[in-house]
Amino acid sequence: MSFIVLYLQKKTVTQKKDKRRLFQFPWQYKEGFVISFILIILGLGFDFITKKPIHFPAFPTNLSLVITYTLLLIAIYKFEKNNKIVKWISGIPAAITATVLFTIVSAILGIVPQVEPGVILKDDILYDLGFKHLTTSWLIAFTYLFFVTSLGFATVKALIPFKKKKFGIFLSHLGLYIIFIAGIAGSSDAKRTYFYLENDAEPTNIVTDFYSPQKYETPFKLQLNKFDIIEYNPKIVLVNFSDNELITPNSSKHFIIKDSLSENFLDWTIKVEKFIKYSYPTDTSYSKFEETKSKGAIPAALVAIYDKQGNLINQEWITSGNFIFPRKNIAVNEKYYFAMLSPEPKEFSSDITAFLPDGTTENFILKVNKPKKLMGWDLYQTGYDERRGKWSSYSIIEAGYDPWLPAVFTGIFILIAGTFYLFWLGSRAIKEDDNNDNN
Amino acid sequence: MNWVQFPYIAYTAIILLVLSFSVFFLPISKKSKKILANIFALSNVAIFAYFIISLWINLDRPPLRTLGETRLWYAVFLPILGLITFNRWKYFWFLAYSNLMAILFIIINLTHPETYNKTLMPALQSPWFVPHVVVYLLSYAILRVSWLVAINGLLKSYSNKKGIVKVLSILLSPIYFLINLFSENDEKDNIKKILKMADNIVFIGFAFLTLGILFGALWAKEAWGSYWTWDPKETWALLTFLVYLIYIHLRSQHKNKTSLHLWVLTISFAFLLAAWFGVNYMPSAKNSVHTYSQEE
Repeated sequence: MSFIVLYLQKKTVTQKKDKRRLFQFPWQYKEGFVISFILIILGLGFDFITKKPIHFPAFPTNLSLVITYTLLLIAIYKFEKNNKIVKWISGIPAAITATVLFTIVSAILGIVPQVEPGVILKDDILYDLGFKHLTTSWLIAFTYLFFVTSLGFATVKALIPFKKKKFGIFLSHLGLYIIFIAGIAGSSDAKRTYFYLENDAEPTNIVTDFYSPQKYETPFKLQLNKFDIIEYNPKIVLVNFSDNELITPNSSKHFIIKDSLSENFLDWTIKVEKFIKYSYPTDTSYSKFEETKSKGAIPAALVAIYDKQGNLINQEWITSGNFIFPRKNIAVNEKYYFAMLSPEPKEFSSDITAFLPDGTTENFILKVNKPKKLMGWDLYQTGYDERRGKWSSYSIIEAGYDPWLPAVFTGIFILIAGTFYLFWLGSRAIKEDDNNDNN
Repeated sequence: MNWVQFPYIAYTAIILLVLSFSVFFLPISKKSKKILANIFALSNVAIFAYFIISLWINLDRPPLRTLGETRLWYAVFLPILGLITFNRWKYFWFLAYSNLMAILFIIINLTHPETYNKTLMPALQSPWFVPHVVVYLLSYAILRVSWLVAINGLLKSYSNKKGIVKVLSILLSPIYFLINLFSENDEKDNIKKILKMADNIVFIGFAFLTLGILFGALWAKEAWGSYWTWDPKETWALLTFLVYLIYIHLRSQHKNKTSLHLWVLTISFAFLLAAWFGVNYMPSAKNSVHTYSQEE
């Protein structure tokens, strides 16, 4: 308590010293916080009245808005540099208060679960205030406006007049400015859609929006030749019968099957005598398995369990099973059993033929992390029938279209460059800067 | 090598790390202390790096997937960081701190044996994976140090006050003790010097944090088709970025409001903790791509 009293006393003393009234020049932090507060009230009010998500205008309005806005910033700074408001908005107090506002609003985003784009909730106070669709709310729109304006002016200020020492500051501000401007303006031109490609189906150019049933046509058609998964060998685990809990093996390893490999679990040793990665059982009791490349093949292993003295306890074929064949485990005693887990995918890929409008075709293989660019669209291997795994009959290909991407990436690389520059300078970068602007 | 051999590596590393900062108490010249500290810490880095590389080969994937694996990297990076800072700015306490933290991570790995998991899901098999995670780990480690420096500064600036501050200083006394035990006299009592130290550390940590976010964005574009999706982890990384941004801007203007700066730096660390693991417990984390678990 005494601490708070002390703090308040100190505060009154400083307030007495500061005779300046609110919004009397030169503006400082107080004005920044009042502006932030007004923006929050405005944002919440607009959201509450309209009760629906908003979007930045699409092309070409967004492009002209962005250019006009940026030119306006430069022109205002160039010709009205000594205007008291311009001085304030390009200075540290505005930067800090705008960042504080942005932090508070993003914190809501970081805590409240967001609805999928396109979903509208009725009679939900958090939704009505924009908290559940924050990225499309008035609240964040006003926040961005303050933040980006402050950032934009700071960028121009770091450039005019040009000083070598300020170049790192200029780069990092410019990079961030471009990322924000291009990211916000581009959000309405970007499309996130997917192709649903079935084995042996006709080529298609129909894509479905990720968040709504809306469909678009791409300028090219795609056909799936083959979907495939490269799988890790399956794991063998020891399981408790009573609660199906996994028991960790003694050597703290997950036991991935290899041929003729043995491993100790508790008091037993399990030995893989034979392993077939893709096989069919030859009878319903699973007494024998044969290798095959046919659809629906399962991994199978002939395993033997020994006790500490080396006596054989049990020997059987086990399999993880799949959508066709049931799983088969091997019992150790009435308390434990060994099971084979379904193999995990190492890599999945689609062999695809694209039919371009000029009549030519192109063959390519799509993998996770290996996207393909095609006529301004980015194609990604996204999903498949997880129940069927390797034997999935379809492949889901994400098709993204974002004409603003090069701008965002330019911003990212400028910011990386600026970061290195500042890293190099260290705290010297801020030493002699901005001391004489305010105060 | 794999986790079975880990205890041998771990005990050797702990001994080397303890030796590395214990030389501070030896009655020898400053120069000899410096050389010995470097030799011990670098030997630790070498054997740990060797363990990580052989584990990497053994696993056929970078050992960066589970928490236990990331703790291995800390055990390498923290002593390196401690060494650089010690050699550059002569903060002996920093080396002691880094080594003690590394020891803590090694002990956690010893007491919580890692399950040995070879698989790595396809989305993580990207050239961006290693730089993204490594840069983040570094930035977290560095920024945590800046927090310690801030706490130390706060305790100093309030050391003659009573009440709540007194309680706080008792609670945090181990940190206070550590920093001052290993500090030369001239850097002990000057808040401005402490903040200067904090600035140096924050700038490095912040640069790594920024790179971590940007590398993540570039990778996300490759793997998921979108550079920013407001995934809760991304949002909290942005929040951390913003609070440190506030600190840096504050420092650039009001050189004399030291106590405010120390408080901001202290609070910033709470955001970092939220971004690091707090986010896993938030209601928004349901669909995050960043919720890791130790086992599948």
